[in-house]
Amino acid sequence: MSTPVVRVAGVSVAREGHLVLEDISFEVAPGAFVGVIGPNGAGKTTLLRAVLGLVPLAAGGIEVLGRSASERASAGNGIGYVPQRHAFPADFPAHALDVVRLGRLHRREGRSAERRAAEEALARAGIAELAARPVGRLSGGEQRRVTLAQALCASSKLLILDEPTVGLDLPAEQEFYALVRRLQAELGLAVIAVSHDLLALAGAAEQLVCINRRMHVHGRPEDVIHSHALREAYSCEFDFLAGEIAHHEGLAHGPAAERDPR
Amino acid sequence: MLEYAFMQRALAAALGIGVVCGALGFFVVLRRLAFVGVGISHAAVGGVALGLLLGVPPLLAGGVFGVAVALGIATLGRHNRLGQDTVIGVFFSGALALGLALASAGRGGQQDLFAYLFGNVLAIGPAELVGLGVLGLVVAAGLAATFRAQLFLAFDEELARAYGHPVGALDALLLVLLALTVVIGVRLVGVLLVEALLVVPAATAALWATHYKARLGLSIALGAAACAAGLALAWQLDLAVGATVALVAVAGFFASLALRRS
Repeated sequence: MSTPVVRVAGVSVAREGHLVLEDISFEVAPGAFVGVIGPNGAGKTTLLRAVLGLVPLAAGGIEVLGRSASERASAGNGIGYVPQRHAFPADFPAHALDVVRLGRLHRREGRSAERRAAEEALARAGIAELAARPVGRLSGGEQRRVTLAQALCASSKLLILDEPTVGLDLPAEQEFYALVRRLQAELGLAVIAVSHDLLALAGAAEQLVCINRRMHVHGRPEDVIHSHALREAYSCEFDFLAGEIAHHEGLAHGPAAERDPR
Repeated sequence: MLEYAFMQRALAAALGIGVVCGALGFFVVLRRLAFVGVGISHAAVGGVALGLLLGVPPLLAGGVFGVAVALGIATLGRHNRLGQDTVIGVFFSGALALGLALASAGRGGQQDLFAYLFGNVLAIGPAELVGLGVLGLVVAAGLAATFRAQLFLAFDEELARAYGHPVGALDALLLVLLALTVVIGVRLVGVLLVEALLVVPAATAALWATHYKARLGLSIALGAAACAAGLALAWQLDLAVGATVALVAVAGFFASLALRRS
């Protein structure tokens, strides 16, 4: 069996004396797409920040690409990260290419190599023609692709997405996840995506991890969706959502997924 | 007017001050640090007054005080719940009050303190001109060495941290460079108006330029132009140099605003 890209083992995180995450364990295999779901305030973003090495652990350990997450953060971690974001300021004085290049700045590999990698990442994200456009004047969907290209420019092994489709309409959301799936297949990328949108992630991820401070369930989306543990995590009934989820899966793997996002 | 050696020195100092303030002003405007600039410049009064009282070169004392306040703002502003603007309010009122109290306790030092409150570029001697030049080069070197990392912080601090950039140190460095720039600018326009040079040329440039390279270049050019034109105008009309420089810069801003809206 291949070494996991991410190994989260018994992780707890405390904030102001209270545990916000408790005994979370899961692994992400190379090339796998893992969705982290849970209700608002469940600790999803904290879990991502722990994987990025940005928050101290109260217990347990996290290994990313064979090194502890905290070591990796101080060294420039080799992870591609798309943080939660609503929009760039309209007057931010940089073009899409400049923003993508910043994702590789920590490598200090020279400007021409950095520029080449950024242009390649923009092309992979299907927005090569936006390279010289001011980033603040792009649409929400285009801006999201710029941040995805920046993450691809930073790493081609592991992509971490925090609520990547917040603020996008349904077609844009489906196109975004279809693009991520295509990049995952082309590059062998491992992906961890966090979303409060259970429907969107269930259609895109191969595995779901459901947390609400503790880990409630971990498995294939179809198993997670119908599990009692999911109802427990969200403290509500999910039967009425089962049909919606099936419908959404059909959309995600159907026409929208096949559409060329470029 | 350039037949006089003191005017040659004043013009050289004004141009250098305009360039340095214009360059740093780019980040002051981009990162919304205008109030930090006000805080540091007013805090420097405490150091200047202390220098006058103790017989230490006032700009050296003001610089040390300004840097200490900048580091205090960087540290406390980041690590407590009050927020940076509140911390600045505490530091700047405390340091300014100290300066005024020391001035009132001093023997005949008030007149000297006024020279620093309102600037006195015509009194710059050859040695001081060299000192200002060295300080300007230090600021320029610090900014050049970290420019794109600082741009990354302006873009997204959390992302910069995730990619291993030393966010706290970069933030503190920018504030220290700001404090040194305040010390440089005080000689021309004084503590009370140095903010005009830190904000107005960069704000004017932001009205015209959408890319950071153009905006930085324009901010530097406008800073130098306002300083040189203000000095010449003050000489011709027998006005206070600092106030005239600030008025020229502000007039340029409103003229640009009108032109951009028409």
